[in-house]
Amino acid sequence: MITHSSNKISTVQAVLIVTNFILASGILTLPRKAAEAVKTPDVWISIIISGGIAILLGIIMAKLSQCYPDKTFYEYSAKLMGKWLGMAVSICFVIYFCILSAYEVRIMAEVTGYLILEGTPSWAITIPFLWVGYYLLIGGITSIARLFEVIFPITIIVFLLVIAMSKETLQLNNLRPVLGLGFSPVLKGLKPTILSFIGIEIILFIVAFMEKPKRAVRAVTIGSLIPIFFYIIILLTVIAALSVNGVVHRTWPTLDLIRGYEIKGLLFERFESFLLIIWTMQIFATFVITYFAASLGIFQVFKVKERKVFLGLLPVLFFISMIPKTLDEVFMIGDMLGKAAVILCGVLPLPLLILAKWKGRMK
Amino acid sequence: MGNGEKKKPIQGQSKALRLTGVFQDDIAHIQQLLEENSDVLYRNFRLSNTNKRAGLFLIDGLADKELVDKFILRSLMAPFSEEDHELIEQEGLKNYLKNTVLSIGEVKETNTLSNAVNEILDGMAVLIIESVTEAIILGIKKVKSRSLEEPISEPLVRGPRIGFTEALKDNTAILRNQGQNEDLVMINKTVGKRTKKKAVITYIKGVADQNLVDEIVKRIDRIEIDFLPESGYIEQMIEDNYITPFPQIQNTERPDRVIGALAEGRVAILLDGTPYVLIAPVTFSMLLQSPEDYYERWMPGSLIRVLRFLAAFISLYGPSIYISFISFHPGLIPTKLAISIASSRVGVPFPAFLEALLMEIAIEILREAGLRLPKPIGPAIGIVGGLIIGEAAVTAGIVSPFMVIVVALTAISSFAIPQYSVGITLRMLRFISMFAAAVFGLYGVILFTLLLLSHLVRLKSFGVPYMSPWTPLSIKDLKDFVLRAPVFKMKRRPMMLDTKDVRRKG
Amino acid sequence: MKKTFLLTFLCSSFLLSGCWSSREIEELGLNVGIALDKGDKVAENMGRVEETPDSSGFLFTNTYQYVNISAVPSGSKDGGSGQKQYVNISEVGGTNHQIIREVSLREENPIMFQHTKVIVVSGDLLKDTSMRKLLDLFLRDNEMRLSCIVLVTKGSAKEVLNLKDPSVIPSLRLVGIGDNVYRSTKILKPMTLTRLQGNIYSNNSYLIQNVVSKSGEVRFSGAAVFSGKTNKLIGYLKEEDLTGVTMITGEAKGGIIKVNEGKKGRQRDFEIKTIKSTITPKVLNGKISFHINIAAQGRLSENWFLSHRPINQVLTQSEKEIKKSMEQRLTQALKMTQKKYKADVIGLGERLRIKYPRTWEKVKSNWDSTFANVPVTYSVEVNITDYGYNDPKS
Repeated sequence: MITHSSNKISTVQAVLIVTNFILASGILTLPRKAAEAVKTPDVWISIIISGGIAILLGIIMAKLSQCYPDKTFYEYSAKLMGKWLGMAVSICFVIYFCILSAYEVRIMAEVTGYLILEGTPSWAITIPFLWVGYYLLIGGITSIARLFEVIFPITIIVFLLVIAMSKETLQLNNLRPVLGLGFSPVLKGLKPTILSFIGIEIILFIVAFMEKPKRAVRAVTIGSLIPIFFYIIILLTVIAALSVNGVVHRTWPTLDLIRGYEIKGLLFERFESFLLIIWTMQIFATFVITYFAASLGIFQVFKVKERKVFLGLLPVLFFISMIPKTLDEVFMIGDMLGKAAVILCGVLPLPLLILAKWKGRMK
Repeated sequence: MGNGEKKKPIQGQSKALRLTGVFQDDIAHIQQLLEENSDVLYRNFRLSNTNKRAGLFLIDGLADKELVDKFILRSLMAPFSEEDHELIEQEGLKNYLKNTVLSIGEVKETNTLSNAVNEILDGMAVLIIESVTEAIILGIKKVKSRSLEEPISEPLVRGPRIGFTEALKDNTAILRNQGQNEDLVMINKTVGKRTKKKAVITYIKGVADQNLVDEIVKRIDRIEIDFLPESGYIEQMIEDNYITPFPQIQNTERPDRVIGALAEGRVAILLDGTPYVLIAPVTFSMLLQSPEDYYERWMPGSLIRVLRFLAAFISLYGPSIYISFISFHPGLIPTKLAISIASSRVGVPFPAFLEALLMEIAIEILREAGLRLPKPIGPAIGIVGGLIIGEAAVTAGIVSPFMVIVVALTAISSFAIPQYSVGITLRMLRFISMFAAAVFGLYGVILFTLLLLSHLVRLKSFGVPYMSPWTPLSIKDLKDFVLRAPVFKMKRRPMMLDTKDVRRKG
Repeated sequence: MKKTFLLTFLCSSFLLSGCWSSREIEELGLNVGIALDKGDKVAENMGRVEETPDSSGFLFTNTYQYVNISAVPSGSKDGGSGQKQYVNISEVGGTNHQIIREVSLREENPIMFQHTKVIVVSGDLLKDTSMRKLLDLFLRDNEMRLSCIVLVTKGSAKEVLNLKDPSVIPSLRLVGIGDNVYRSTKILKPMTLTRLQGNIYSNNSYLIQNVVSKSGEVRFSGAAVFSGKTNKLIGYLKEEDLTGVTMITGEAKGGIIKVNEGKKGRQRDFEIKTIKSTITPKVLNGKISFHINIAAQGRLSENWFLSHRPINQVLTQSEKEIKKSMEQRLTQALKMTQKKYKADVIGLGERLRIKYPRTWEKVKSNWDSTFANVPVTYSVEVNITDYGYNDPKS
């Protein structure tokens, strides 16, 4: 009883936080972005390589956090880089998480409005979504982690089911030849695919909440292997069904994969609703965890009360999500976020780790 | 009794008045305190050949009169021998009577008037003896209890046919009898400030987590209410969270369920006057389980459990999914089904949501009416409601036949839930999910689900997360979740309970 | 208190303003099929007050077939009221979306395309308008399913969606016939919008099933050939030619091959159980050639001519006949595609792309004309595995 009531998360939960954060809006658009860059069916090799890079970065970040096992990045950044620089970086992270959070909400509203709720204004789609997130957030990190534990098995089962049923539409020829034009197209695909691993940086903030911070490396590794597995399956099936040329012309290729088949003789013939259900849940997961990370930054850097931050951030997120006017602008924000992520999570952690190790040795 | 609390039974009296030993005064005081109670019997007599006066108070109807006549009055009035008189001299009259004369199992004494009066009102016989400053309390209470019948609210195909009754002593006796275990601990508690009632907290020492027991005892001690008619009061006074539709304490009429829970390391609370025993802590999956799952072999047991989870799902989501498909996403259902639903809805004047709402409310009223009516008329309601209203509504074109099917299926599903209180919870939530579906279609249903899950993961029952073992994930506990592993495989007690003795077997 | 207020406010605001997207299923026109025809101003103008001449000058007719839900027999109601279960409504216009909205001037229920099963396009229309343009709306819009199939008709598409039998919805029948692919070699794998889009954007030439209608009946008959570059119709393949094509592409899943042993009246039927096509591209010194190997297994399902020879001789003889017949069809198919239409609809380019991706990069821009001149050889293996029973005379 005592252990349950603590404010800590288990290793499994840490894995799922990383996984659920990574799996988000990318599921629907990744095949198009990757195929646009690669132009051959070899995109799945790109995702494996960029997944490897992502895991490497994740391990660096996990190691960095392990130097201060009971502190989040916001707390130790000041120690590491000095008060003002640390604060500046922390604020960068807060802004980054806010925009990412709003971006996910907006993507959710776009897809929902486009596919299942045509005619419903996007504020009406967004607001209840935000409120539900707020309600979950009040429960703290443990509630978030538990919710992830609940939705993850649902996601896996439904996802595999829906994908498996698409087998009639798959044409393996679309996946061939492997490396037909050599390795250079694969390298071109690294940039868009690595961005689909945005979310791995959450490890900087959750190590402090882990029951066993020593397992952070394991958590981040498994936590990114699961999305790699998801992404490979998605890329293989989508490209097998729609062909590289077809994928490039669809805005949400993964949805079109599911929309492209009907199974007769069941209660349902069409399964995109199932995909949308788990996808909305995944977006919710990402939204909640970014919302949490942003709030965590604000109340740890500025020492404000938790609840006030949670509530105060809601309208901010709402307005940010309403800024882009067209879908293209939304995707542009996505690209900007990608660039920010490369700096914050790709470039920054390694020097910080070296700095932390060096400081540790000095002591 | 005796947690030392002294509340005056009748106002205007100074508290803790002691017995004086002056017979007339004592009797007069007691009679004054009991003044308005016509059911109190007072018997005045002479104590054998000792020349002392004595008085016996008891409540008409609660006391076993045969016992009083044979073993109290007769022994007290029969003449004492010489040896008896010697013993009286040695031990004192009071002790002599207690040790030698009164052949009654339960004998206590008290020296305050208020205690004496409380005991009388509780159904004890109270003996006042001249020049003795203590009153002797004799347990001659005979509770009128019904015979042990099969529990009405939780029948089983296979399993013991015995259920709890309203008498606390019977219930504790059943537990003792069914689970002969020297570690079975029963803590007595008195609850209710004005009208006092007995409650028993029971658990198995060495299995149940001591923190849990302490927490429950603490919470029960904290109850401040004048009267508790049913264990539902206790439930509501000690639950973790009151803003939730979900019961956080299980109630049952079945002794086997209680024994099973105790063996797992849970704690049960029995209250006098109700056959419903409370079990804590509880998880959501427990509420969808039935003891029968364990009695049947593991495969049928597991399948029935899966069926029940499915029933819970339908009961919660049936109408809302129908509404979202019919009013929002007709493209998601098979073409032929869409055509036949559409054609069956031709002429129905209401949108699907209103149609569903009407029918659901009708069903709920029907259920409530069937419950409240005298038993012989009950089935008639079923016929009127189910057949006539359903058939007529369809023929009149107010609702579509598909809606009747959906509503009926949902209703049946909600009745398949083994716990009545959970059935109600799901029904309540069903209406909310219908509203969500009416506004946002499938998206609304997803949002509702997320909200519900967000709520559920935050909920705890005495520190145990409500959604365990799903979350926090405990692989070992999954053996007894949706599926039930074979009995010999379930070697451990549920991890979530932090039991002292983890191993169940082997 | 504040919380309760907030909650009530939120709930009520949603309930009062809600239900933006909700529309009951019976208030929608459940569209199941669309037919695209050449424009016909006179017949379809429905007495508009003023004829609005389309500025683009290009006009075509859309026919929307939707389910007449009140005529569908449901449950207790008696079926077979004799009323047609579908309604066809035609409109003329310059673009698809515009025509759809024209329909709103005539019908109270908006048309919903989520159940659209089939799009039939008239061949005459496709001869000078590209497939991509005609179907752009349906590929772009979110409402139409990508599993919807596309058919071409040599005649009037509108007529294809008009059956004599009132109890059948023509679109569903067309889809049903398409599912018979395992029963006949003359049926192509259904061209769904997904596949069509892949073809359109990869500049591959492709075939679409042709359907003909006569006096309220329909029949799948041959296929229409589309050029990958223009996405326009360049000709038709006859049913017999189609057999050869489906054998090469491997789309043939089953079907009957009838052979004659010498004279008339000596028919035998060979039912295909499995048929496998292997296309092997070869590149020698920049010269591209192909070899096609077809291996068919099946049973002798019908035999009119009982000879006195032992059964294994009969089988060998039959296998030879079948082989000859199949080779004839292959020759014919190759002749039609390579020489007549100069369009690679048999998937040779696809194999080349997989096997020799770098060669393909060089030739892909002008593949169809290269295809017309590449040497193609073929071999056929036939194996009769089952013949029912021994003929009594032998």
